[in-house]
Amino acid sequence: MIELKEKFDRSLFSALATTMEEMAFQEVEQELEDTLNPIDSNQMLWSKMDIITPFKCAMAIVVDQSLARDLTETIYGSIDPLTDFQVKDALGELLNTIAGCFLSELLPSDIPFDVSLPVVGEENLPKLGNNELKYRYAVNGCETVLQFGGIIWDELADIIEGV
Amino acid sequence: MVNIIIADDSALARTVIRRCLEISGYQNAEFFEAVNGREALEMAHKKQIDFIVTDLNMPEMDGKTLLKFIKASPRLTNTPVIVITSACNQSRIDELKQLGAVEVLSKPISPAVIARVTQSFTKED
Repeated sequence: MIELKEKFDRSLFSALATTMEEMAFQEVEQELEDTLNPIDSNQMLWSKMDIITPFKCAMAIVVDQSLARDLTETIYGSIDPLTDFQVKDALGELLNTIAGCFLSELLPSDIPFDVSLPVVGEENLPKLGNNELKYRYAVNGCETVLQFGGIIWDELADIIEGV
Repeated sequence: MVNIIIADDSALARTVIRRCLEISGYQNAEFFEAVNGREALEMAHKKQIDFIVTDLNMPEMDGKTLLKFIKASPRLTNTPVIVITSACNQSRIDELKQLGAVEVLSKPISPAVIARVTQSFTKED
C-alpha cells in the first residue's frame, strides 16, 4: 500500500509538472514546507471532476484567481483582456489534462479510463467525499492545490497489478 | 484551401489545437470550431472538410460517437479523424483506431506531434 501511495504521489506530480510546463510554460515545485501563503477563500477558483472508471473518486484543482488569470494569459499568449469565461474554461481544461496525464501514468496501459466533464466554481471547494487527500504545490510561486475525495485504496490496489 | 473542423468543448483547447495546426503548416486553412460532436457532424455534412480534429470527452455528443457517425456516412467515411484526448492510453488508442481514427493523441499536444500526424494529408501550397 505504501508503494501504491508513492506511485500515486509521483504520478500526480509528474502530471501537474508536464501539463504546466507544456501548456503554460510554468515550473512546478513540491511544497514540502509551509512557505506559501494559503489561498484566500474569497479569491479561490476551483475546478473539479469525477474519475468514473476504472475506479471512482473526485479530483479537483484549487488556485488563486490571479494565478488562474496569469496561466490563461500565458496559454493564450494574447494581450487582449481575458473574460471570466476564458479563465474558468482554461482551469477546467488544465484539470482535464492533468487528470488524463495522471491516470495514464498511474494505471496499466491496457486499462481504459473515463472521467467526467470538469465543473468550475469560485470560493470554497465543495466537499469531494470521504477521506479527502490534499497535495500542495507551488506554480509560479503561488499555492496550487490538487485534491481528491472518495478514493478506496484497496480498490485501486486491485487494479494496479504489481504494486 | 484546406477546411478543418476542430471539435472540443473547451475554447482554450480549440485555440491551442488551432495554433498547433497553424504552426505545423495550416496557417491559411479555414477552421470551423464546434463545441461538441453534434455540431461537428452538422458542419461536416454542410461543408467540404479535409479532416477533423476532435476531443473525446464532450457534452451532447462525444468524440467516439462523432467518429462512428463519420465512418458510417458514405460521404464522410474517408474524412480523416484525429482524436486528441486527455483520456488516452494504449487501450483507448487501440479502440479508437479500430473505429477508424487515423491517430489518437494525448493532451497536451505540440505542433511537432500534429505536424507528424498530418504529414499524409494534403497541405496548402
